[in-house]
Amino acid sequence: MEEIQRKDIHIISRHSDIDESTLQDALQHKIYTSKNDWSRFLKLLFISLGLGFLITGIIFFFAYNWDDLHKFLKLGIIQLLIISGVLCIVISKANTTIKNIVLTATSALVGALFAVFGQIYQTGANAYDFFLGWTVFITVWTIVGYYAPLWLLYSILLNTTLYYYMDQVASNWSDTTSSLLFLALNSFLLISFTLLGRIKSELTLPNWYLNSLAIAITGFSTLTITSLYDTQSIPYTLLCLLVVSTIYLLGVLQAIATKKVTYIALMAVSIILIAIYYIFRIMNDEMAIFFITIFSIAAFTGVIKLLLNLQQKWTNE
Amino acid sequence: MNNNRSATSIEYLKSIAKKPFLVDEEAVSSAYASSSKEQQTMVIKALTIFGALLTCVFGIGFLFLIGIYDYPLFMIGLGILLIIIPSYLTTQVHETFLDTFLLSLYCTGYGLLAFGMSQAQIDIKVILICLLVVATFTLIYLNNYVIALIATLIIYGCIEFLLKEFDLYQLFPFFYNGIAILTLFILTKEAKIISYSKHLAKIYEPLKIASIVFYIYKLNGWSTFNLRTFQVLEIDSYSFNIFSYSITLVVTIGLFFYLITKILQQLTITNRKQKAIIYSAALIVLLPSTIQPNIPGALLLILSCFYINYKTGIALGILSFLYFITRFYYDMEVTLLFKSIILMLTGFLFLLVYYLTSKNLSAHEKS
Repeated sequence: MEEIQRKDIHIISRHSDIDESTLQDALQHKIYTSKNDWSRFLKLLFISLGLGFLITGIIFFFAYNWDDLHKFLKLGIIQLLIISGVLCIVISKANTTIKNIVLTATSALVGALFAVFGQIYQTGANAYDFFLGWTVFITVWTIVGYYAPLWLLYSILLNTTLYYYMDQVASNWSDTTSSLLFLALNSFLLISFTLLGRIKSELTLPNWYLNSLAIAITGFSTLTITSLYDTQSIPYTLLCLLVVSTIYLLGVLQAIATKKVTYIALMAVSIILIAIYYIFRIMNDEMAIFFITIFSIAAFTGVIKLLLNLQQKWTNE
Repeated sequence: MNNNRSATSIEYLKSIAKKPFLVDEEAVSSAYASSSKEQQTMVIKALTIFGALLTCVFGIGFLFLIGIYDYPLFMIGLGILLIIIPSYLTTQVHETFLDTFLLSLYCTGYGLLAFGMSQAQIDIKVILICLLVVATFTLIYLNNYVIALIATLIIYGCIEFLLKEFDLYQLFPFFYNGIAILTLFILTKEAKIISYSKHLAKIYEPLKIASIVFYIYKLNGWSTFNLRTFQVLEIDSYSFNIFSYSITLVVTIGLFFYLITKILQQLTITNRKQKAIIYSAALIVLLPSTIQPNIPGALLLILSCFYINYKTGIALGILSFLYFITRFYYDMEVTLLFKSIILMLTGFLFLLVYYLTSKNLSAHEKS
């Protein structure tokens, strides 16, 4: 017998004349949180608030005294934290989730270490070097730990390093090239993780991470195609179109394989936005907005109908 | 499968009912059938709202570009049409994909109505009252989820702006404490509301989430409250005074004790000594946080949503709690040293409560 849900009680109460006290009893016994859940929640609440406030207080205390600390002490404290983190992971018998959280925190501390080093020795505001160093030094931990939040941190670091590279080193590249490179980076990550997940099921990463990559990919592909309007070179345009089409095709195939509409929804939004941009740039007057409004309504309605049909077909299979 | 579900649910309700009741089983089956047909994921709902808003922006943008600004009466007329026609259509048509289309027309209608009236030099008080009346009618006569959500937010917003326009600043403490009481009522009196009328049962969910969102918005107004000077450091705002602060304090603590009473009932704790300990522990934990009333307010939201097992509310409560605490410590005009000491003391307090209650709570878990 399936557990009764809130939806059931609501539907039945709408089509019957059940009195309030029966509904109240039903809600209290079946839907509202039970004693067990309350004790777990309260324990979690007290300990996380307690630790959270305590640790923040300690951090604030160090921040207050930071300027007066000797430089060896500053670097020493962070290095001590990193070393104790690694020792904890290697030696202690805590469960894997806790070890992964400690690994993520230690990886963040590596960045703090480099930042403090740069601040003490005034190595110049070279953000590219900083992020590159941070990324390189936590690569091994990320691959071995294979923990989604750490991969998220790593992905953000990869993108930030690329951004600062293009900002400080290769600043003469066009908008299209920048978007294309970001697209390539994130697609490489997503495609690799998807393939790894298919080969070995222990290597699948959770959907929230893969969907975040997917959102980044659709954003960059939209930017790439829309910036093509200002490009002069035909072979380059063809290359970008080819890359984006291949990626979208792979996305559709993966959506069909996993029976999830998320990728298709994202790609549909991207295509609609690209079309709106081109209509606007080509027509370039008020009537363009009129066409865009009509197009937008028709396109969104059509896409949503398509997604609903797909979803129904896939949940019934 | 759905028939099984409805049968077991009806059976269960019959078994615990105090008086016999009649169920329209056919209507229940068809309600289940239509709800499973429209099984929308978050993705599709988000896409619907995004598409509707985007189209609405383009539509209004186009109308402004072709100079509809010069024809305010036309704007008002078109606005009214765009509110009434889609509203009527949502009651006739039950295809979810048309919701986007109708919703964007509905939102455009509100925008046109408001802009048109302001172009026609109508006083803003009248505009707000008109929007309020339109939204109220929508809430009373329509059952659509998203429309009810938007209408409730418009009603709350209009009341707030009307109070400002009429310079009724003294009524503000009653307004936001009223919102707090109303939100808590909606959250804890679910059975009462959904059994009252079929219409209320249908708009209960959007009403709930709209009230929670507006409650968090009103709590945010306390963000820069400074207890020493009773000033709020925001650009277009008014200063609180000892009266509004005390009323808010009394209401918040009162609502907390009401909630704790309900929770104790749920946990079937009847031992007087235990009850007294819990009430006094709650008072001790609450007292320091009343320096800024939005922190116990957010805590109230978390506890009440957890009590009724409403996951979205819990998430919103936790996010707003973290945000308010962060702003509190960020804005405080004391030294880092003082802040660090307060933080460490609070941390110790919570860990102490944890150690004191963990034995008790684990005993409950095992039983």
